[in-house]
Amino acid sequence: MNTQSDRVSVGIGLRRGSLMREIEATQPELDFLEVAPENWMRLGGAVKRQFEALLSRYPLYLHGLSLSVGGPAPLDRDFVHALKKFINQYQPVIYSEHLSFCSDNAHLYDLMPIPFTRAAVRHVVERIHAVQDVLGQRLTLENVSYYTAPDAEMNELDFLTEILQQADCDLLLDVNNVYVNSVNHHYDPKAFLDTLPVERVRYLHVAGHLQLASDLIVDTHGAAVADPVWDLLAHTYGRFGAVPTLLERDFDIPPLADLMLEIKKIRSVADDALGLAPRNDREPVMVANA
Amino acid sequence: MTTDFLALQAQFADFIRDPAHAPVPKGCDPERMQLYHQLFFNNIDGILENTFERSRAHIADDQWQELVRTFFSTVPQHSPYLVDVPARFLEFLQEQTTVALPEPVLELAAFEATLHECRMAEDITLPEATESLPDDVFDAAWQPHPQGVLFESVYPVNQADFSLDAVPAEPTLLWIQRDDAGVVQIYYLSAASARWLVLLDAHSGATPGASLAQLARELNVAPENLTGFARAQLTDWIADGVLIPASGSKENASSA
Ligand SMILES: [Fe+2]
Repeated sequence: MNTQSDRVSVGIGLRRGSLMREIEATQPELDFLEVAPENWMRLGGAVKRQFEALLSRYPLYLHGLSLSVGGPAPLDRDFVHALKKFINQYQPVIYSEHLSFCSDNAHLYDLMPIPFTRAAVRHVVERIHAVQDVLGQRLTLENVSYYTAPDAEMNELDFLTEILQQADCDLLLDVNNVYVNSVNHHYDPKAFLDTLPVERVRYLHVAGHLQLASDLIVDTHGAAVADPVWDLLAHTYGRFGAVPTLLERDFDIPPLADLMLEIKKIRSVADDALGLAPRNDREPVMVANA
Repeated sequence: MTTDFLALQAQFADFIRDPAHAPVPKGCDPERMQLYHQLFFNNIDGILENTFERSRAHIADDQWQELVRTFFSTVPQHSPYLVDVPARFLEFLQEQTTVALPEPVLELAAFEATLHECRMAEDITLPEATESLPDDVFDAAWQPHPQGVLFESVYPVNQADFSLDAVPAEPTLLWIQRDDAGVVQIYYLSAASARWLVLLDAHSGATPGASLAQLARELNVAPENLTGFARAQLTDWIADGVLIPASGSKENASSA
């Protein structure tokens, strides 16, 4: 077997501004780019042409923000149809979203935990089916970080696995979120990972966070990946294999070269965990100085 | 028996919007709910601080906090797109009476919101120019670019250091439009050229003579006295993409 195909695909999030310009200028060795469809669906002009030019070089992953799949209000069908149009146009490898809600009857533009109740499971499963019906594809939903949750009938893990099973959808496993929640809610992150259904994990996220107290971490995406998360990522590859992995960075974005060092580390953590030989370092080819 | 999950969701969102008046959702940690409020509030405040950077600088910190807090807790957002929030905030600023904002600050905020809209605008399909254009700019029909915005203010809002206290003798007239490189360009207009752009739009499909004749009548001058001004202005506007060829006009075909 060609071991190349066993190696993990690694990408970063594409954002307008300096990061996008650096990616355009240096064409870094990335296996894909991820964007939030909400930030690109209505783009026009030069930035849209630049986006499309990058897609001729990099496969696209979509990670949505505003679906509110666990929301209490009726599904925004116009929005889902607009999403479908965008998906059809750009043919992403995956469209993923969050297992959470970001709106009640109006948008709050950030993620809230769905109450862990059996009625909520039924509600979310119905909505996942409705979205899958419109999009004509399986949804891939992310386990989200949370800081406190309302009255529950079950724990996070049971809630998550119940929904995956009943909705027959896939999981975007955010390894940082597992770690953040394990600290915030006092559980064993490896035991959590070891209980998830292997065949449902299609995509991984890894990110940095901010620890405010011994039992409180905020999921900021504003720092380098922390050591315990690297450790958990290795454990994740050991159990789930070479699942495509995104390095998430949304705030305090460093120069691309720094992000590429973390990308390199993701690749070597995966290779180690998967028992693959270290790679011949393919440094970017530089134009030789005369 | 747990509370109905829909009620819990409503409580959760209500607390995030207005922690001073909403109860902590059943089962939640009060301090961590405050953290939720702060994170969500900061997200909205961040995009507003960015979009309204210059008007924000003219508003005292406690007043700005009061404005964003009131906006965040009372104005429901129905767009799934976060970039639509600044336009809603501008409407809120113009309608609210809690914090008295000076007129020039409101006009500056409107200017900044317009820049944001132009930067973020979706592409539209432009009418196709079907025939090659005649050599003389007066022989073709033109229309203002549909994504350009004519912006009028009592104050020179485009100048970084304009005075809030003095009301200038002349209004500021600007044409704001994103160029091919994606940069939002601002063109200064005289009162006459701004009026002519409006007339060109109204006579869209006709060659420029018709709107120029009307402009001459309004200015009470002979049309031929405007020819030099008009030719220079047309040439500039066409070069800048402010004017684009109008299409599918009978009037154009007959006069060409
Ligand atoms: Fe994530």
